[in-house]
Amino acid sequence: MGRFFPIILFCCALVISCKKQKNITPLQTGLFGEVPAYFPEPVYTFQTDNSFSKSGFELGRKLFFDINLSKDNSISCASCHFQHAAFSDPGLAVSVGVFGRSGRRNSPPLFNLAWHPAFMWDGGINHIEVMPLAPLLDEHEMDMTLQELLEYLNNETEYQTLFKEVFNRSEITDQDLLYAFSQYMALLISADSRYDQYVQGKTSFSTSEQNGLALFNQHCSNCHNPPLFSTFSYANNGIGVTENDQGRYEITLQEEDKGKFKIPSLRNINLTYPYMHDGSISTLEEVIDHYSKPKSDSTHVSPELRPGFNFSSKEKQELLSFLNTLTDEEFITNKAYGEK
Amino acid sequence: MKTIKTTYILFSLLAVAIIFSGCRKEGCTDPEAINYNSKAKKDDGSCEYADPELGEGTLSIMFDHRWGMNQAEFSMNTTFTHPGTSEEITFTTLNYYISNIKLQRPDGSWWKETESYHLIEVDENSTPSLTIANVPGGNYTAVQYMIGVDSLRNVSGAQTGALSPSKDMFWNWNTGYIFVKAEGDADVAENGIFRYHLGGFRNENQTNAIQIKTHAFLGEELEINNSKNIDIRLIVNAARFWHGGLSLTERPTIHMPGEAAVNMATNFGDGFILAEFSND
Ligand code: HEC
Ligand code: HEC
Repeated sequence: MGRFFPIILFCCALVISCKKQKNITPLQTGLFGEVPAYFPEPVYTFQTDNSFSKSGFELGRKLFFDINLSKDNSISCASCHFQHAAFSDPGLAVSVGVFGRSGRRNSPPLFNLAWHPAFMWDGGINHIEVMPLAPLLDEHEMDMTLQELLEYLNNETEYQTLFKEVFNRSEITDQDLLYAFSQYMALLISADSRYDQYVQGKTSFSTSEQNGLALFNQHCSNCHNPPLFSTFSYANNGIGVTENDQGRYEITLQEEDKGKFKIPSLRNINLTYPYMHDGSISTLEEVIDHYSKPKSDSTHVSPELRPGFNFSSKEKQELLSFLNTLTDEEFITNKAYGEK
Repeated sequence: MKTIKTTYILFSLLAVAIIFSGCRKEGCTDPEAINYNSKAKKDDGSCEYADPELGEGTLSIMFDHRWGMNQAEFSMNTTFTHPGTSEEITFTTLNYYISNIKLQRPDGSWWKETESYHLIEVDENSTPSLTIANVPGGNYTAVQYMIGVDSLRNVSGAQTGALSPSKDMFWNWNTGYIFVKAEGDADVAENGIFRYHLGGFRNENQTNAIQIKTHAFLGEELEINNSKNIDIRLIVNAARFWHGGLSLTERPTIHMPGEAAVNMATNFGDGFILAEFSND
């Protein structure tokens, strides 16, 4: 050991000293309690002028619930992302935006977003700060222009005061608007499910839950990798490609990406029905059935899923009871995240 | 035994040295210096400053838009004919990013403009220009710029100034800048319009549409100082979008990164020619 010590020290030195030293502020996740030690580092570092603060988060929260950020003053972000459903849109296959216009995809839940390297079912958006542009400007969602948004914000005394307090610029800019949203979104952290308490040794699992965890580790965790329950890469799990939605292919134009979608996290999964990018599966039981059956499409579907896992009804029950441990009651009831 | 001991001491020393030096990239860290290195984290005392006697001057680049082989005058809302197919084409929008502007010194090193992002918008004036004041005094032999936006700024979140998404040169569903936007009317095309949104910054899948252009001042050295500025006129040939005979019926729209965008951006970039420079 003694002989290797200097070499080990040498390697440590390299690692310590070569850590990226950028002019950025790390995500201050501590604003709302600690993130568990078994979580990886968040993927975002923020520019120096977007330094996180309680007031920045509060401003982002106010914006998230403001229906005046939409063309017909009827839709806020929260109209499709409900806290009680982990910020998804429960019961709706595809969400409805301004003037009753329907989109084509299911509204995903919002939490632990600072760990998503890319957003949307196709992963088309590459940074949390620019994420709100899509819903704000999309004609099926809020259908605004940045000019309209800034005009509104710059004419509201309350927003003027709040933005000035957080960013200290004479006029509200689109960058400030996006920064404020990013502070709220990045701090929506869900890490207190029964599963987390189990990992931290604070609670124990029933036999059924334990068996479910084992099945999950065997068949699902390649893609839905704990602790975030997603690798955030892209896969085709056999939901199918339609003319209307070709998934990741729409971003990359690569044949092999047809029908691939961003692997969703399974945290809070029993709250976010219906399931899949198109909301085509209503219940978790049916999702498990879907994975149980063989897939006929042998060209696109991920090879490990083609034969089907052929779960017994006991195994299905066990998987389901494990998935139910991923719900974070604290997250969906925490008043700090909800409308003021 | 001796060698082991020596290695032991050597490695330990090296380790300690690395921890303290922080493996940081060394260079000149003063943005005021002419050899400022934005990647350097630790100053190594190498900063060089412009000769204060020379002062500073201005670099102006004019974008003189033209049409076709004979470089006819170009203007918006005017009908031109396709160089190959004679289809009728009328531009209503022609915007593009010019970024990362540099001037080369006689010793081969470069002066770089900081925050170098300019949006060129062609309107009634078909010869818009950009001006950079306070270029450090000295001699220069070439100019370089990017048509487009470097990959880093395409992945770094919310930007401001010329890069603000409010300029409508940004894809919000497939993050990245639209480097070149050309739109207008073309009766032959489906729906009677053409619409080219060219961009893409990734090397994977060959979707990098960034064009880097360097124009040498033909062996001359141009001087910048308190009383001398550099004026450059570039010819930008708007017919280059259809270079190689691409017809409007064949391809009236491009709206995302990919092979088609790269090909068209390359053709358009090839149509940037140094027409004139003066030094007074
Ligand atoms: C009309 C309903 C609707 C509104 C309003 C809406 N969203 Fe969404 N949101 C969706 C849908 C649907 C998706 C998935 C879209 C896709 O993948 O193409 C989504 C995706 C997202 C994602 C990506 C999540 C992930 O896992 O990739 C984030 C973050 C998000 N929305 C935040 C917001 C914010 C912030 C606002 C307000 C500015 C907002 N949304 C307004 C329906 C909505
Ligand atoms: C090859 C990767 C892969 C494996 C293995 C996998 N999944 Fe998935 N899963 C996905 C993808 C991709 C989606 C989204 C597909 C879509 O929307 O079209 C998904 C969606 C889901 C959803 C719906 C999530 C939502 O928010 O709509 C559930 C639930 C789910 N998977 C559970 C499981 C379970 C349980 C297993 C193991 C039996 C499993 N998955 C194995 C890739 C995988």
